[in-house]
Amino acid sequence: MPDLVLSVFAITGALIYLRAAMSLEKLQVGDALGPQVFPAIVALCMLGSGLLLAWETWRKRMKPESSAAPAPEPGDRTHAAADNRRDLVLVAMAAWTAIYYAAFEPVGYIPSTMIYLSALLFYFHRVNPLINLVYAAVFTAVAYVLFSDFLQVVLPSGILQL
Amino acid sequence: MIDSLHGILHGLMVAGQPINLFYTLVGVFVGTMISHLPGIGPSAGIALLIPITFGMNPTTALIMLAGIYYGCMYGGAVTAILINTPGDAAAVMTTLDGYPLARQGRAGAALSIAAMSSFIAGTLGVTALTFVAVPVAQLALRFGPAEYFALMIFALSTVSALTGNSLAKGLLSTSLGLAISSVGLDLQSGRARFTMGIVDLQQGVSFLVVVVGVFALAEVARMAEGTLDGTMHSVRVKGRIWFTRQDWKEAFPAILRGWAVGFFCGAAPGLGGTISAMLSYITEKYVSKTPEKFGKGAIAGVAGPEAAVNADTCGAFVHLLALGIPASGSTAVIMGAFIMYGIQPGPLLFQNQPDLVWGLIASMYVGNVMLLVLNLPLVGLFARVLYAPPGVLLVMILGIASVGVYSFETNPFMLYMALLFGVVGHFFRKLDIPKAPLIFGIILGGKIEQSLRQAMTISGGDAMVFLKSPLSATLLALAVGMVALSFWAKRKSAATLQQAQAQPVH
Repeated sequence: MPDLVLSVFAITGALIYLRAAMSLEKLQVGDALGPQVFPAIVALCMLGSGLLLAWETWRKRMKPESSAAPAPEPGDRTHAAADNRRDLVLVAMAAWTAIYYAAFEPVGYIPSTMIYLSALLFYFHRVNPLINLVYAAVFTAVAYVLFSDFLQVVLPSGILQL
Repeated sequence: MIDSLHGILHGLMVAGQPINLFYTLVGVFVGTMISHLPGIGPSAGIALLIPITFGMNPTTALIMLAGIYYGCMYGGAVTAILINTPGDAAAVMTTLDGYPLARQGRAGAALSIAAMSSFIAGTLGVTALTFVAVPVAQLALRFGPAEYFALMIFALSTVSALTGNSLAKGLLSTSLGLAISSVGLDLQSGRARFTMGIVDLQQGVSFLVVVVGVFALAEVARMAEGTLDGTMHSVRVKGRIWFTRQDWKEAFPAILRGWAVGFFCGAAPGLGGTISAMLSYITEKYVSKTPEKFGKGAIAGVAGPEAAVNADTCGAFVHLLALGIPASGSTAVIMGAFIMYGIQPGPLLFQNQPDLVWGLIASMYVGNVMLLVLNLPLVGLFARVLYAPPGVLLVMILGIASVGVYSFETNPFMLYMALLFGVVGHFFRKLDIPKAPLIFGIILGGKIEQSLRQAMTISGGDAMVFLKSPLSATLLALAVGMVALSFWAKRKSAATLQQAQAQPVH
């Protein structure tokens, strides 16, 4: 099923990309092809791979050994619950990372990184919270010195500038 | 031949400079450490560390990045032998006999044979690279845009056809990479393409952002899953790290065969270390007088694939340095680093940047010796990385990735893009889509389009230009043949082979 959904996405994406490529301005001065031909060829390749994937998925389904759905096992519900929890954690992690990136410049590298890393460590490394705070502080300080002093990268000061 | 000898002697002087020796050591050390973290392969490791090399002399930086690459391939056997989990995908075949040997209390023998195989094959591989690269580069100088276009299409079709478990997914990944490469200003017309009005996209999608996202951030998601599932366990190495005379008698011919298989696989675009290790393992089992020992702890089953993997890295550099075309996902990442430093790998590199190219090749000789010294007596010490809490590691990787991406252009937009590509990489893994073709597409997309347009312009718009040149026609026919072969052939992944080997031999 996921492969079928992927093939639908690929075909839709390819058609959108093809349309966008075809709507590019034709500029062929000193250039036999112009800027739209290569993207159009790529879109057709993407379309072909989407169709091929749909065909591969259909062929797999037609095979006798895979046609019969496996009988549900007693542990399946527990597994499904664990999968859901895992997915939720990953979504929360991505959202937390997006918040960190949004705060990176206005709040500053040091405070935002300290808070970001500490929160993640509290969840993924459940030991004494003080140890996690030390890990976060040491990492932030080492990375700051490495990038700011050694590599001459200007990391945002944010609220510490005030 | 004489040119190569002069080149390598000059390269040894470059590689022997204290700063380059230091960064060779740093590279192989970091590569070995990275290889001990299950799942974090060379591509993710190099991607994470590219930002740290900004501001360095390009020769020194590339020496370090190459050191990380072959250091990773060298050390991938350690986790394969000790915890039945390959440090990189190419080490998957080493688990078949390495782990059974470890369970029989012979972890030391397996680790030392793996290190010795890697050293011999790596050194022979660099020697072959030294003498093969110049003739290949001289041949490539005769290529016109049509031949280059055909060669790159051949590389893309090989990597699409042979990577992963589905031809469609390989092609989809390649197409997506090519599509991403078309974002930004069109260099010939100066018009913006697919930027959606976002000014930050006018320079195109940054390669660094894609590799950090797709490799490093997506790996963090995998590590997070492993931490939550409690599947990331580690074991301790015990016993003496050395092998017996009988082990050596079994291993030596396997090392030489593994080197030959690995070097030729590496020199062919798209085959990669995993396939060379698989071919070497199959060869060893085929020629062995005791094939029933394979899968239960055969020394040749460790020596052959390990030699093949390390020779493969040298073969891949022939392609990268002499033709300017990557041969695997990791060399594609290294090629991206070349381009970021404003250096175009390819046949002209030997003429325009002899210090860089020969210094890089010579540093591999030095790096191989360093790796042997690091891997034999210190393997027990390195294995301690396995005991680092995964929860802390994943958080630190996120921290390094974020500050590294920001430091590239000091632009928060890059961070969001990296996060987006991290999500893409996560779905690639979930849906079993190979990542290497995506990187190939991004790296080669611009050059393919440029060659296509140049060839068509020179020929006055005649598409037959690609068939009029015998070399171009042959390469395009091979590309079509590769895809057709993959379409009809039944694929056996390394994992399938691993499962099959785990079955008792009757």
